[in-house]
Parts: sequence; C-alpha cells; structure tokens
Amino acid sequence: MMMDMYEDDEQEQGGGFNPADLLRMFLRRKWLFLIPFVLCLGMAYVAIKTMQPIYFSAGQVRVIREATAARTLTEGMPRYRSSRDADRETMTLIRTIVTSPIFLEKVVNELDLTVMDMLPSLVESDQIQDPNHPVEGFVLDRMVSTLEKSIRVNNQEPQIFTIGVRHTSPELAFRLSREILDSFLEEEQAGRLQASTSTRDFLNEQRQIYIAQLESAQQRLTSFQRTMLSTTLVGNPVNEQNMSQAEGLFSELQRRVNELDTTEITRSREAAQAVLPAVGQLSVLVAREADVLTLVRDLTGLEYEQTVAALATRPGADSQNLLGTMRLSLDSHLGRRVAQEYPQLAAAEQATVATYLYNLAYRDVLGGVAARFGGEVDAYRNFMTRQPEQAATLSRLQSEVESAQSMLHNIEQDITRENLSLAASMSEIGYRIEVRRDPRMPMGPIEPDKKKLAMMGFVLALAIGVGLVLVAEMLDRSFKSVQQIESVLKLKVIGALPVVEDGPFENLRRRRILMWVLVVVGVLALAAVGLLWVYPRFQ
Amino acid sequence: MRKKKRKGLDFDIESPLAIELRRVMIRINRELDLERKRCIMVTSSERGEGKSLFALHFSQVLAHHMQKRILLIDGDMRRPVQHTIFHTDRGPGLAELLRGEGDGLKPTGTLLSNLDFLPAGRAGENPSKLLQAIRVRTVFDRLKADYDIVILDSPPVVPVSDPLQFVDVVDGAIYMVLAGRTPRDVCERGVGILRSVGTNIIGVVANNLAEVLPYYFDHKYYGYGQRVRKEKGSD
Repeated sequence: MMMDMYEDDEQEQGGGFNPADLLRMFLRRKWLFLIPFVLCLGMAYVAIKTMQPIYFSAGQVRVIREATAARTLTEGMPRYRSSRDADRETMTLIRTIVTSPIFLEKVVNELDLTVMDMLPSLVESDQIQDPNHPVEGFVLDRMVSTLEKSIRVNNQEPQIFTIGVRHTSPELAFRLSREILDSFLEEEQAGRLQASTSTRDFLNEQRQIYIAQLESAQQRLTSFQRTMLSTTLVGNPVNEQNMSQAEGLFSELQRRVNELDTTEITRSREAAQAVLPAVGQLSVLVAREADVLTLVRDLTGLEYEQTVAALATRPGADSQNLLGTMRLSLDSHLGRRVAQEYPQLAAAEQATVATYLYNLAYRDVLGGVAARFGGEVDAYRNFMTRQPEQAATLSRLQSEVESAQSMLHNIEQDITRENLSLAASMSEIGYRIEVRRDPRMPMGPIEPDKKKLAMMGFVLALAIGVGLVLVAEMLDRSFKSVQQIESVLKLKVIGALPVVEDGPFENLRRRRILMWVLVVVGVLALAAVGLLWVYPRFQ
Repeated sequence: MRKKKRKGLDFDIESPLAIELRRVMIRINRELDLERKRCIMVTSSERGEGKSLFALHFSQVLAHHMQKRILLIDGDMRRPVQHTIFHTDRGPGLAELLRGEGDGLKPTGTLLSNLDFLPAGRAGENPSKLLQAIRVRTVFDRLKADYDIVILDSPPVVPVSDPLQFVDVVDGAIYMVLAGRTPRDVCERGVGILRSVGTNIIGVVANNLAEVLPYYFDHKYYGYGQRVRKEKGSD
C-alpha cells in the first residue's frame, strides 16, 4: 500500500506506540488543537447563554394488555412475539392519535389558543400584524404543525408511556399536555366502543319502534273494547285464540283451591287445634285485620298477573320474584300475630298455628284469582256466543297486542344480552389504559441543560481539536526526525538546523497557517450547525 | 557564552545556528578536505527549504573560520533571491558569464573581506540553454581558479534539471531537507535524481527541526532580516 512507505521506521521495526511521539505531535500542533478547542467552548457558552428556556409537562399512562386477549380473535394465536412488539404497536397508536391534524385542531380550539401562544415569531416578524388574528386557515395549520413538533411520546418502561408537550411557557406546556392526555383518552375510548355499541344502538332503536307498535296495538284494542264492547270485556286477557288455555288455567286454579281446601287446610287445622283448641276464633280475628287483608289483596293481584302472564305465554319474571316476597311477608306477619296473641306457646306450636292461618289466607287469595279469572272467561264466552264477529275482531286485536308484547320482550332480552356482550368485549379487545400520573406544572426548564451542553461542548471541542491534529498528522508525510531522514534517504545527516525565519519561509508558513485557519473555521461552522440541529433531537 | 560579532556581519557567530553550521563545516571537511580548492553545491527537493539562507550562512561561517577566499554563487537563474539579501542588483552575474558576456565581470564583495558574492544574472526566458556542459565548466574553472571554496546555491532538483548541469563541476552536494514540511517521497525522488547522474552527495542538512522536535533546541535562531552592509575593502 501507498501509505506503508510513509510509516515511521520505528513502527516498521516493531517499535509500537510511543507516548513521547504522541506528546510531541500535540506540542507541535498545539495551536491547531487549542484554537478550535477554545472556540468550541466559547460557542457552547454563547449557546447556553442565549438559548430560550423550554419547559416540559407530561402525563403517564399504563397500557395493560390482557394475556388471553393478546391473541388474534380469529386465529387464537399470539398476536405479539414479545412485549416489546406490543409496546411498539401501542407507541405507534398513541403517536398516530396525538399527532393527527384533526386531533390537534380540536385541542387548539378546546384551549382557545391564540397566535401569540403558539406562533409568537409570526407576530414579531410582522408576518401577522394583529396578535388577535383569528385562528383559521394557514394560521391554524401552522399552529397544528408547531404543536405536533412539540409533542413527545416515550416508552421508557414496559407498558408505561409518557405523553408530553414542550413549550417556552410552563403554563401552556401544562395546559396542552393536560388537554392532549384527556382528549387522547376520550378518543381512544370512543374508537373502541364505536364498533361494539353500534349493534346495541340499533337494537335500542328497534326497541323504540316496538314500543310504539305495542302502544298502537294496545290503543286500538282499548278503543275497540270501549266503543264496541261491554265494559266487562275491557282489559279482558281472554280471546278467541287463548280461550281453551284460559279455561285450562281456570280449571287449574279451581283444582288448587279445592286441593288446598281439602288437604292442606284440613291437615293444618287438625295440627293447629291440637296445639290451640281456640284456633277457630283466632282465624276469624286475624282474617279481618287490615294488614292481612292488604297482603291478601296484593297477593291476589300478583297471582292474577301470573295467571295472565301464563295465558300470554310470557314468563312474568318480575312478578314471580315479587310474589315470593309477598308470600313470605304474609307468612311472617301471621307468625308475629300468633306470637303476640299466644306468647306462652312454644315456637314450633306457634309455627303450626301460623301455617294453618297462612293456608286459610292463601285459599282466599287463590279463590279471589279463580273468581276474577273465571269471571273473565265467562264474560268472553258469553260475548263470543252473542257477538261472534266482534269476538273475532277482539281476538285479532288482542293477538296483535300479544305479538307486539312478545317482540318487545324479545328485543329487550337481546339488548340485555348485547350489553353483557359489550362489557365482555371490552376485555376481548385486549387492553385497557389507566392514567398513572397526571401532567403537572413544570417547576423549571428542561432546556437548556447547562451541564449537558457544557459537557457536549467540551467533548465536541476536544474531538474537533484532537481530530484536526490527527488528520493533520495523518496527512503529514514529511520527515519528523533525523533517524527518519537517514533511514529513508540512506544519507548521513550532517547538520540539524532549528529553524530559520525568512521571507520565503514566512510566506509559505503564512499560506499554510491560512489554509489551516480556513479548515478550522469551516469545521467549526459545520459543528455549530450540527450542534444546533442535533441537540434538540437528543431531548 | 560571550557573543562575538565581526565588524559588519549581521550574523551572531555564537548562535545555535552558527554552531550547527560549524559542525557541518567540520563534517564536510572530513569528507572533502576543505584545505584544497572545493566547489560545493547546495540543493534541495523543492523551493522554500532554506537552501539560500543555508548557503549564505554557511559561506559566512566558512569565511569566519577559514582563512580562505569564499565565493557564494546564486545558481538559481530562474528565481534568484541572494541578491535581495545582499541588496544588490540581480545582474550582471552567472547568466552573463555563461553567455560569454562577462568579460571583466567580477563578483561583488560583502561585509566579510574574504567572502564575495556572484548574483544569478538575467538568464532570459530559457535558462537551460545557458547551462551547456562546456560553458559551465569554463565559467566554473575560472571561478575556482580565483577562489578557494565556491558555494553554489542551486535551484531545487525536482522541479528543474538545472542542478544536474552543475554536477560535473562541483565536488559534492549538500541536500537540504525541510523537516515537517517536505513530503518524504519528494525528497526521495530528488535524491534519486542526483544519484542517477552520479552526484557525490556529501550529506543531508535537516532544517526546521525545532518545529518537529519542540524544545530540542534551546532557542530559535533569529538570524536573518536586517540589511547586510557591504564592507568595501575588507578581506
């Protein structure tokens, strides 16, 4: 290689690295090192003194991914190879949302920012005369663009993301970061819910239609019943379609009453009389009490509703629960009354007496339901016999009402199912976001970081100085010592002169110095530009 | 060390440069026996390596220490500089002698009585034409007859071929190398050129070593810059 012939002879002979030569090299080119070094340090000092302070405010969120749902929904395979991949995707998601122009425009409008807040340079440079210039058009675009450059999204730890804003004003930095974080959470939530709630919303819309249809059918039925029928048929649940079923229900009711009368009541009366011979008087006394009568009346109403629901083949879930509660209320009330009247009886004896009284009361309940329901069956039967056409119309209208009720019931069940599914699907999407730390008002500027800048300036200065010396040394193919001259030229050195300053020498020397000055200035200029361009990206 | 100053000599005879030049003189004396008539050429690879000043100061040192008649010739007819040091005219000089126009032309005296100076003269556009072997020999034979030691400050050997024309009339050549400046390959090339024509290279004088070897020398030599007054009638 060409360069091999210029290697120092000592090195060729395996002399190796000589610290003395290195020191000599730096001493020889000390100004080439010192001048750039001092200039760089000076530049760093000026930069520190003149740079505008920048404040930073950020909020921190944690994105928790569900282990089971970190899988593709259709394939069931893991969606991510590592948590870092998941974090990377989340980072992209967050950054995409918070830097989108529409999102930032919303932030600008929400905070009612002015030109002076975000673009003071435009006012100072007279590109905009009025500080209260409306935020629209190119001004809005510039503000959005400036805001986008001020936003920082970082992922310093697994699942932990920081969303922050840099600004020359601490208050604005805080307000912007606060608004961006809140808006991001809203936007993210809305995006997740949108697809899932659409089905529910559709069903809700349909439900409203079914409610209207039911009301219309009920209104037609009621209107028909009022105008065309006797009042006895108003509200009658029996119609032509369910007549046979109604008769079956009536028979069932009668059977229950008879069974209660013949079996339960007889058995319980005998047991009660064995405990309390005067139980007959007690039963008459209790049956007339207002509380008992109210309970019996309420139970009668609930039993009747259950019967009507059975007729319409609709399970009356609410009334079923309430019925059970009411039964318990009656039972406990009667138990308390027995205890009041006959405190000397043992608890088991009191319960035996109370059971008898309950059976008596329940016979009244069932009897009332059978009577009422039977009356309606009879009324419809008579109506059908006398007015068959109107019976048919009534039957049709009642069917329409039942059909509308059934459809409404079904869609309400669908809505319930959809709500449950929606809640479940939120975890199926795979992640949830929680705020770990809200943005805070910055206490001090993050820039310029004086220590960091000083260190960077020092390192850069050192690097440039050493670099220039090394480059100069590498490019220097001249002789450095008497030994080199003798070994390369194969001639004896008969004289070693220090230095002679004269005109020709000085001209050369000046030209050489000028060249290096230009090189140094050029390198420093590049370094200054590079520092100003690179430094903000280190933040 | 007490400095001695000769009358009219703008050169510190006890300076480190002068001491080093004395060493050079001693070494050359061992090679060439300066008690006899000698002609020594000073050359280098390229311009600005210090040939002219070395030639000047070396001739001054010779004049100081040897009771000989010394002649310094500015052999660089293309870019002569010695006449500026001596503050004399460029011509008539060597060029005129080579052209055969130098009848009656004598070298100029200097402040040192035993040191004379012959400027380069005006060679015209093509100095090479003057450097024909027979002419060169004729002129130098005449000059060597009048002087004991002739120091020829020749052009650099790499850019031009003029030094090769003087090889046959000189007893040896001193090769100047400017340390820390002249590239090694250029120096090698210059030496190679001289060797190719059979030049007796006495040795190398390295210049500017204080820059490549800081603190190697106690102090710099500030030898040149003042006017050299011509001392008429001095020997």
